[in-house]
Amino acid sequence: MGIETRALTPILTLTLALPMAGALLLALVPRDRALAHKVVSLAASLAAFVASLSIWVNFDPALAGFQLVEDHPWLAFGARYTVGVDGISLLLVMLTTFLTPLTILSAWKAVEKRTREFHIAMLVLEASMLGTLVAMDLLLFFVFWEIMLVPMYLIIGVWGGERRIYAAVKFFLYTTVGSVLMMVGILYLYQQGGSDSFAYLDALKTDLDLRQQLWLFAAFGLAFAIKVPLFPFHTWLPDAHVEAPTAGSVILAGVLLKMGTYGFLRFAIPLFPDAAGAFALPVMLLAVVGIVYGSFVAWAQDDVKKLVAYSSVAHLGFVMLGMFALTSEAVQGSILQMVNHGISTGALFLLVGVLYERRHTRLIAAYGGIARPMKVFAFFLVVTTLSSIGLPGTNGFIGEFLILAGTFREALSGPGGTNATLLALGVVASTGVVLGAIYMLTMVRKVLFGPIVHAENESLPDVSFREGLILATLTVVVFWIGVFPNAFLSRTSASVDALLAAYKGRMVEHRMVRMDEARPGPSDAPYRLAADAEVAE
Amino acid sequence: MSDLLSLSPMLACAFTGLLVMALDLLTGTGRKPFLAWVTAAGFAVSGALALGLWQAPVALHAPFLSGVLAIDPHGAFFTGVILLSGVLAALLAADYLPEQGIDGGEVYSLLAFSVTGAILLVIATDLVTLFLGLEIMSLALYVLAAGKRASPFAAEAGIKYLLLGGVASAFLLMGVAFLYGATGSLDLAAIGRLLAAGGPGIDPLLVQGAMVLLIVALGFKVAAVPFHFWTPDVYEGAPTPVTAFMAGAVKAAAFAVLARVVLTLARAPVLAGLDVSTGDLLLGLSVLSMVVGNVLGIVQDNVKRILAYSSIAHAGYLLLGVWATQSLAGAPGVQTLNEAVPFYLLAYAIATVGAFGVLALLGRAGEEDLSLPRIAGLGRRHPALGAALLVSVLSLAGLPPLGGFLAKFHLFQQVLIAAPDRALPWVVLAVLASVVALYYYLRILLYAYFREPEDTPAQAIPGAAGTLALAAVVVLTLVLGVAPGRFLVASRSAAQAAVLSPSAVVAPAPATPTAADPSRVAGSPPVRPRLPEALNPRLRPLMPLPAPSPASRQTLVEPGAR
Repeated sequence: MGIETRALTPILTLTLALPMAGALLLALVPRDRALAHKVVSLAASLAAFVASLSIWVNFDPALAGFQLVEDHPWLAFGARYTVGVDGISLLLVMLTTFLTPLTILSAWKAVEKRTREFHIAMLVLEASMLGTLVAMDLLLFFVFWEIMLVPMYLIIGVWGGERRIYAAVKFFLYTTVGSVLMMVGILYLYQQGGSDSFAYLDALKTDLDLRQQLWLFAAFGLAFAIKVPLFPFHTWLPDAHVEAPTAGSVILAGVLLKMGTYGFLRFAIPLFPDAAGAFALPVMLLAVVGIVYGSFVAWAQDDVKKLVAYSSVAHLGFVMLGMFALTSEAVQGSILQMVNHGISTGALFLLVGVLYERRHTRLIAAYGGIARPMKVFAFFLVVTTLSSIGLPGTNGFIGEFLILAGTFREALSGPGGTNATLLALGVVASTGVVLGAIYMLTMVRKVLFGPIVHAENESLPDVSFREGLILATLTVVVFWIGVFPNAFLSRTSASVDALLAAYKGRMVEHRMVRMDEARPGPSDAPYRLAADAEVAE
Repeated sequence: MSDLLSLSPMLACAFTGLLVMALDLLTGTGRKPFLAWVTAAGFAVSGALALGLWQAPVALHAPFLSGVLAIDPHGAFFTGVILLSGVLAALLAADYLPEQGIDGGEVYSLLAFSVTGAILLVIATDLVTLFLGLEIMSLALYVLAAGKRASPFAAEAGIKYLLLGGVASAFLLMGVAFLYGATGSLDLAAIGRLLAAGGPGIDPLLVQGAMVLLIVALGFKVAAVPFHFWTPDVYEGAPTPVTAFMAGAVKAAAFAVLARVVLTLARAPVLAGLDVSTGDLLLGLSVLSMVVGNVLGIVQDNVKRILAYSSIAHAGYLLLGVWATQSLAGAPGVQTLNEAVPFYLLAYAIATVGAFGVLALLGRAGEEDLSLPRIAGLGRRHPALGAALLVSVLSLAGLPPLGGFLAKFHLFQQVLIAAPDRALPWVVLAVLASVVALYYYLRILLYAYFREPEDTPAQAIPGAAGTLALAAVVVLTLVLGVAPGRFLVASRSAAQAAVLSPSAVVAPAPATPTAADPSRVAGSPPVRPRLPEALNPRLRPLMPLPAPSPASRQTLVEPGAR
């Protein structure tokens, strides 16, 4: 992997700058002009979306490395402003720019308090998420990574529900503990690299022994695992989701969590391949535990929003499972599943928000039979649920199928023959699909169908035009990915293959070195052998 | 003449103090804020002179006035930090003092004298002059700390600061005496040279004792644990703009001197054999400050006290930076100060002055209860003040894209470069301590933004001077975090000048002078390089940054070429 193309026009910077410009503009608009705040915010996020379309168009799917790269000196001590996009980040960039305008539109009526500050926070959040995705310099990445926290903290803490302060502080402290250790990891990596550079591409060349890799993987991995969140680091998530306003939940579930999975794929795995190999099984185990645990806990919820929040834990378990299976299908499936989760869970949170705005409760028991008064709503909820549980024809199916297929392929015909542990993990994960169907459909049945037990549900207004527009847009994407996944997978495949080739190449290299030392070890998947042997010491 | 020129920044401040004193007599009651602008203008002139001297030919950086003072990059950088804090404090005082019923011009002239002393302190190259600077700075502050005459807390603050400051001065003086006894010199560079040469007449015990005494004395001034006990009380009781000045300028000045003294003296072979404790002492102070400062910060309910503990914790991070290079003082090439320390102090001073500045502009007519509930809802009632508090506090917490983050990142980067293996656990401890700190920083913001005010929230005092000061704080904090280019370069040159007269430690001429390249001759002592570039490839020259060489990147395909 390297730099494939340099940007003739700074499209990536433009995409980052448009939301920032919107935020600055908002700061100048008087406080009481709520409509102006919303319009400026929507316009800025739409402009960023249009700019990102030009990234999509100019992206060459055949190239594996970074494209549209911009590189400028930044700080005197080695950090540069380097941004670029490749097949791993492209879809997430598009997801971010696509979801943000919809989210802003969804908050049109819901947020009436301090609209200016809210929209500034949303736009800063968008810019920082985009920056995290396109940064090719470790310090730049870390800067954007940390900036993300503040607007989200404010969104939860100012516009959230009853226990918003607790949730906001918990969110902030939890994620910061992980990221400061990652900061030390970045500094250590820099120190080992010896080239006065924080560049990602230079970091890839850093020579690290297994012990260093394990520690660094732990430092980076903890930050990412908390963000994902990987079981058992997930306890902040339900609190944050339940207390956040709808728009905050959508962004949190839709994009913010993906920064964790993206971090694993972009940094933790390629930078520390041996450690990734050594950690692969434990991580996959935690992922599968997360799938099953998240599903059961979701099943037990009587609050719709909590149910969706726990379903996120389960879905991201799939993403992590696929990623650490480290086969082309599974990793691509996992990238696609990140997008799918953003779309369908985002839509679910929006639907919950629609209900909440009408009844001001999220308890499942407060509903029932509302398919009759809210026919359009019922349609969207059913479609989104089906997408979330992975019905063929929807986006969720493609992602989960690829992940499970890739995992099973690795388990059955991986380089080391049949791997029983992996096989068992795959089987247990597959039950998660069934569990997902159970708790989601149960929720849908209880909310939408059956007799209307609460009189006030008789006359609930159906979705408005604005809400319908948002949901319809998301639904189109659900089917688009479900029916034509190649439009998306073709853009990820080159980069993912290159990443895996580099990963396995480095593993084999290490193994050769070790064979020279003639150290006997148990035969396993050959590229995992090296790591195992080292761990066994 | 050139002496006078070199002295001009300090003279400008002293003159400002006298001028304000005179103008005070001519200014009627209620019009004193005018004096703040005069003071700020005087500081600005002084800052311009310092900047000019810094840019001037290197000859002017040489010691002057019989070699007791030198405006080298180190001195000039910290002169700038002190003056900046001074300007901000003066402007804040213009709004604060009338509201608190302190209507006197003497605050401004005392501030000017304190600044004069602080400048003298950071440009001193002679131990007695250094002591003189410390005393001038402190004496004015003893009075300033007790400025709110009606408040019992102010009296407590004044007395405490006076007594503990006196103890610190005694320690410092004793340390100076020990050094004089050991080496017969008061010139810092000369002492460093003598110690480096390591003559037989030098008593190691005296030197070691001197180091301990000096570190303890300066530890008081930088508010390092366990010499921090005065800090929360004094910071709380003093008028808030004075607190801002103490937390910003005084700490920066004391750190500049601490770094200079410790690093200039610490390369002594006398110490290398015996004195393992200088480094341990610094590390101990650092760890204690980080842990105690941050943990005690959590349980405070008064915003000023929270910020006081924050300033203690920051002293801990900075000491780690000094320790990392000091502990390598014996190794060739690593004699400069950690290049991030000056930058850190600049970013810290601005942010802490900003945070105290917001507090200074809160609270009408004599009410000075700054417990957390009273700032509740600040973000809504006064969005501009709230934003200034947000930026300052987040910068102190070390979050990007603010100056405090970059400073912390740079500091830990340099610490790890200097001592990769030994420093790693301490850096991990430091970042974890900064997460603890985040809790109390967030608590301030949580009250300011998330909570609704209960009974009587603190009202803001509108004022042009204070607004200007806070706007400057916000802009500078953002600039330091996003585009700090020149400041980083300045910080590096300041750090490289921190150790006095590095040229003096060049090894004696080689035994075989006929050799073309003496350093290659076997058996001859290697020439000790004067600058670290020679040994550390990371410390290559600075701006403009070289473009990435094509060889280091992979093949580039221009879009058109495909």
